[in-house]
Amino acid sequence: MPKKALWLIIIFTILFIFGINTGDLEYLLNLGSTL
Amino acid sequence: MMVRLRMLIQTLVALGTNAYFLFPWAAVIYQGPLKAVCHPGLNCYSCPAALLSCPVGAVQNFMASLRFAGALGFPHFGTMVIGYVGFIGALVGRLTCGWMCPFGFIQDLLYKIPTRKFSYWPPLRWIKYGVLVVLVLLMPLLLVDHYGLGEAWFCKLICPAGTLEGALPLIFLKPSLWATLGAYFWNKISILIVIIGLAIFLSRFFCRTLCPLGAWYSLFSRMSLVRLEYIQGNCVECQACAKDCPMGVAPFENIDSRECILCLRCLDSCRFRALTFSLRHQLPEAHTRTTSPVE
Repeated sequence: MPKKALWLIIIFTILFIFGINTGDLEYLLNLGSTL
Repeated sequence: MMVRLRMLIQTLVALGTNAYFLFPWAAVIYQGPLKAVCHPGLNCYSCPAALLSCPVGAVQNFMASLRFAGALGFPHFGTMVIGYVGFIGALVGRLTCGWMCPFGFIQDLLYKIPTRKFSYWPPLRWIKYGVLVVLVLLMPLLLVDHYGLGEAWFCKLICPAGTLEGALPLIFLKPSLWATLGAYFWNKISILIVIIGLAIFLSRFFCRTLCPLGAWYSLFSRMSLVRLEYIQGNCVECQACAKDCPMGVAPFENIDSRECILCLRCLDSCRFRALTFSLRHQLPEAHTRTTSPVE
């Protein structure tokens, strides 16, 4: 298995989880009301 | 076989992610909990039938509000969306463009119209990286009003998917919106007409030239978990794969081309099984694996 791809998957998963925990999910859900 | 399978999956993804079939009666865009999830391809948030958000639109909106929200003490960098599209890119690269993007699917259908076809001028492909950096990242972040709020400039100026899937259906559903249309709308209608016209004569013109999401996924083409594999020993250099490639890629010259959308049409084209689809191997020798010819 390619190490680079696996590292990228891990890093982007962490970014994704960080985003969810810092309120990105709510932001995205409320986006419609600002359009 | 791959062509039919891909068309089936493209149809299922396009319909499955645009399945808010109440829209003719509701006449508003769906804003339920699924809108917190981004589509892996280019699919407008404002499409009346869309269940998911557009990742390009979401990133622009995060960028556009970063300075305003930062000044208030709760900045959102959009790491959830960047993590999401980065995860997809690292996993499958531009396979998403080939199999899951509704606007790519529309272009594939347009290219089926029987007319004379033209070849693409390859240097144009660099434009999409400029679109990603300037229109999606920098302009929404830097061009702000006195509150610190920016605009989603790619959506506002160019996005043909937004015009086709969002603006036009909404205008027909809500005729009162006609009164609000301005220069931006007519500019985007003109761009949509040009892109649709070009898609008939040039395979996937928008994907190859302007799509910021394609530009992003292409950054992972040489490191994603899956890839095409070239078996040099089987190749007779007939170039059938290059002739059939919708992106103008010659797999035998550059197996990890950033333009390759992993549509796998070349697997059908090659009668000598010189191309396969596989997990990327750690060892570089996999690039030109030599086996005995099958025919």
